[in-house]
Amino acid sequence: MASRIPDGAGIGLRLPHLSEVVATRPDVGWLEIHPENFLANAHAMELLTELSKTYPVSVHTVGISVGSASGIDRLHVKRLRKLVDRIDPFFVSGHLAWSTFGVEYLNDLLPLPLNTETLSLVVRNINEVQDTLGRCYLVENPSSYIGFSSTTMGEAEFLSELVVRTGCRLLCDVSNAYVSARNMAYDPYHYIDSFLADAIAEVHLGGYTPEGNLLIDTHAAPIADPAWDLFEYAVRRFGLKPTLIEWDNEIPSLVTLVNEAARAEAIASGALQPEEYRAGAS
Amino acid sequence: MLALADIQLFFRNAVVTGDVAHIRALLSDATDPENGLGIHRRNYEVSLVTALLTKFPATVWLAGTSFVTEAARDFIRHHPPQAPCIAEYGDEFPRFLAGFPVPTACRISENSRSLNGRWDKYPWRLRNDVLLWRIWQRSARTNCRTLCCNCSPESVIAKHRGQ
Repeated sequence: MASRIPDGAGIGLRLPHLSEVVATRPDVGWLEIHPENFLANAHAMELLTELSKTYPVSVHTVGISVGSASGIDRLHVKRLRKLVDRIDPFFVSGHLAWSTFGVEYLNDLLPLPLNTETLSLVVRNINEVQDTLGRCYLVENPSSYIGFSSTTMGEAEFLSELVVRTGCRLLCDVSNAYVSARNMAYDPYHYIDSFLADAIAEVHLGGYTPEGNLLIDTHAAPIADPAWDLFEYAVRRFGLKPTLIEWDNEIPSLVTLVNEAARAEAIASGALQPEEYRAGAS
Repeated sequence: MLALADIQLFFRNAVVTGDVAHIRALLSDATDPENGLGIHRRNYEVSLVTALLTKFPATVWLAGTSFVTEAARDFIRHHPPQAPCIAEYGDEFPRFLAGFPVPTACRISENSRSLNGRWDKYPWRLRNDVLLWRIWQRSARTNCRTLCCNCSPESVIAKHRGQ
């Protein structure tokens, strides 16, 4: 059984901060990990196991490729199951993307054409992931840089169909929503409106980097004001959800991350009526 | 309509080898497909080259960043990872490196000398890395690469130690 679902904001636990977090136990609501960083590091896994007794943990995998035509990496999902059994996270999530091609792992979150063929494949793969993990899986909206001519469905519609057909839930990355909307020329607020609000279980916020006429989801910068504004709107629409500050490259001090998490909590509390905020936090 | 498996083959070729000819025709012109593909190709390359340079710090120190970076770029084109735990990626890199001539411009001798007598100061990973580098250096010099080409890194080290 999964551990309790926290309210408020959490931070990504990255290896450069691991010993400091163990030593100082910062005041954050929860921790998020990429299991791929811990599965290959026995010492880090020991420390994570210790931290999981104090902090609620969310597992966010970059290695389960639910969009791969060649199927998911079953060996990796079994390794993930062992980690999940060990630390009992409150959520396990991944991306609407693909990375595995046959036996190759391409180490990026690659885009999918959104149509009925892809939908059937992703449904099959998510069902297999949930069966192997023995729990509900959260699917995150990706950041997009290109579109396919064979796409026939909108992203929010595609994600909603996944929820209906698999029982999975959704992770709304607000920064991805903003980045994709800018890159693909649509309205990010309309996109948030289209999300299946009842299925949202977790929210992410990360920094992006402008490059030419595109925004790149680098997780290498502070969260920009347009993403904060969209987050405030999303909180009004989705209610209070566990919210993650993601920062994976050019990682700042732990204090900076903790301050960003505090800012997310302050914006969330300002976006909701006091009774709504108390209800969400109880 | 092309099957998803074929689309992913073309996308894989664009990301790993830079061959965008087939995938380009399948992308919408509404955005900027060339730049978009370039982002994915760069994500693949930068993340894996960085992983290899991090995994073999002594090799970088001895042979120089630019040489090892170029070798790593070549390696990832020919040997994509086979599992998502990238810290486990690259065990074949020393053997791949054995196929390269020793760079003339690097400071191998100078740095190798500075290592003498200081083994106990390095963590295991670095000692292992330096050892592989020395074996590669010797193999390349004598044009006898059997140690590096036919053995796992662990067995190469065992042989080097006379076990």
